[in-house]
Amino acid sequence: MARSWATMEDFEAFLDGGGLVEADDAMPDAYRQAVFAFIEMHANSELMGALTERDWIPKTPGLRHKMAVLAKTQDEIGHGHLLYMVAADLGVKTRTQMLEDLFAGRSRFHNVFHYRAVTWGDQVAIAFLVDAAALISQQAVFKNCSYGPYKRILRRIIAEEGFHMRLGEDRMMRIAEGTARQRQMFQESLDRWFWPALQLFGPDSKPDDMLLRWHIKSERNEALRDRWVQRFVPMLQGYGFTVPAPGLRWDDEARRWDVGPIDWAPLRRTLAQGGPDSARRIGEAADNWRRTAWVRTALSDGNGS
Amino acid sequence: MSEQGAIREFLLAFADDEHLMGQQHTEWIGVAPFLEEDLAFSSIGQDELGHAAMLYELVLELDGIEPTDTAVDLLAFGRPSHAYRCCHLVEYVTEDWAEALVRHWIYDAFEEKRWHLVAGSSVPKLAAIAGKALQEEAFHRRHADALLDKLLEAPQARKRILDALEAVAPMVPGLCEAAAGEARAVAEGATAGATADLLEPLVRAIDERFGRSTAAGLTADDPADGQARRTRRSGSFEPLMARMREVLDFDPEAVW
Amino acid sequence: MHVYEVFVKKDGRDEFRHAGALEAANDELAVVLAREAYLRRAEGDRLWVVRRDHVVAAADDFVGPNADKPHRHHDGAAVAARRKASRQSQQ
Repeated sequence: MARSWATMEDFEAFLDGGGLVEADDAMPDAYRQAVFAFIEMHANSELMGALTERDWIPKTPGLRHKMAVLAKTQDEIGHGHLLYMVAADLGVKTRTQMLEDLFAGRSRFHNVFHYRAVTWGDQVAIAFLVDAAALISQQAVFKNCSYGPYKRILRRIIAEEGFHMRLGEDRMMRIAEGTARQRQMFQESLDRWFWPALQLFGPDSKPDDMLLRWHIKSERNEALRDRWVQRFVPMLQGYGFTVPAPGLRWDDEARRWDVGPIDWAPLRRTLAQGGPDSARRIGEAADNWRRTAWVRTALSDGNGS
Repeated sequence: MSEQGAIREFLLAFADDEHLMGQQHTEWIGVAPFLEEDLAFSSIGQDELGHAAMLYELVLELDGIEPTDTAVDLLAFGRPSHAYRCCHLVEYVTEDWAEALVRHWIYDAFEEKRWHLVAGSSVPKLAAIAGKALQEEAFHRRHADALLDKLLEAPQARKRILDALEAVAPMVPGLCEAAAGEARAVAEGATAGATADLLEPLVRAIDERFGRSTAAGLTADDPADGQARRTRRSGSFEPLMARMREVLDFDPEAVW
Repeated sequence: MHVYEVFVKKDGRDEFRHAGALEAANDELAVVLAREAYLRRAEGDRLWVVRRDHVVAAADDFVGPNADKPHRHHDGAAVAARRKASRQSQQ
């Protein structure tokens, strides 16, 4: 162990002073568990996101288009890989345990990846709205994250998310400039995905949120959500789509968009019981994991692990 | 068949193989045996799709059509089944990773030889594409070999791989079957030799790699003439192409 | 499986940098898999992989004392002050 702190007060003073914690530091166990849980959920979300997109990749309309979409989903897998490696180094669970917990339905991941992409429009909506939400969250974590290994890989993850955002907006632009059927398809996708994407940020942060106190997160959920709303409401409208929020209004005084009251019941239901597509997707992933176990076993043999 | 038609036919067979092989490899995204492999195999699939796109563009140029993305997609996804020239090995759909790996090794062993044949092509663009492709092939070959080196050492994995070889081997002669008109393409210098001549060295390489004689399996149940110069599709093709076309068919007027 | 640490370098720019880690069964697979895990967009053109259990690490308290050697960081303050004073007197 490299560094240790006599008391939680000392440790928090170190964090408040901008200190970066490294994997081999003797960090307080509560911090270790909190940072681990946060990274594990991020990793799971990247992987589940890739599995959501995977259903539609073979149907991508166009050969070079398909290559671009593949590269994006490959990045999500890559993010999962980076995050699972960093999470494993915290010594709470091994990479295999994390994956097996995920495939056994024991782990958490972002609400949006409990839903199914039912049309190609959904695929584009996810690439645009959900990736944007994820990017806003990650930028806020990166800005002031106290866990060094996480902060360092976030730099790479955020750079790659930038490519995804541009790809997503480019595809949405083509749809916006396209046929009536295309626009209708995307409007329906927007109706399905706008609220889940907005809820990716979660309900308002609690005053005693330890993730904020320990500089794992640097901004409150409601601030991040608002940033997304201010950016995407005008953008979607600019492309000629309707934002599916009945209470939406422009507050001329505050110079900002207000989406009206948020119904959190679907989010709570999804996180408590799983969403409409969780069981299928996790089941398929678990089947695949079992079917390819022989490869991992053969590669591990003779190496003592 | 005219010179132009012969070269076109030859290139289409090449492009369709690359397209379908890339498609099959990339079906493993998210479900490869482990994350690092997911990344590597997806890249290899992307490379093959990229080769297909470049070859389709070349076909369009020979046809005097501007090779826009839309024109490429029409060629890649819009032909009736009988107009495709892919071999049955790349049409074969599998959910067995051992079969996917064995096919990957065999296909890339063959590909390397096929690209070498066109590296000095009289069609300058084809020679340029070969230069790029051969650089990428080196990675594909090393990837498949590195995995097989390790997996063939483990008795249980070895058995799965040899079973997979047995399943895939009957489709190997079809891989080396030429589309009609290839002799003309050879005569014009578009390619340096007959694809059929690659079969014997390929079988030798397979035997060496997997440590067993595959020759007996080659004539089992899918003899090369079953493909009729690559004009006959296997049962896997239609459902696969229908799936790939789903969004394109949703709105034929659309640009995505 | 072994954990490998991955280092990459862009030609003419900087030192080798630690990019992350991966799991691989042997050195050859580590090199092959590292390329697509860390250099998909040519983030570097040189690549090292090192088995984590082969890395020789020094303890922090062994390295630490060298953070307190002010005599090796001569700040040139006195010379700078004299130069500044002489510039001002010339104006």
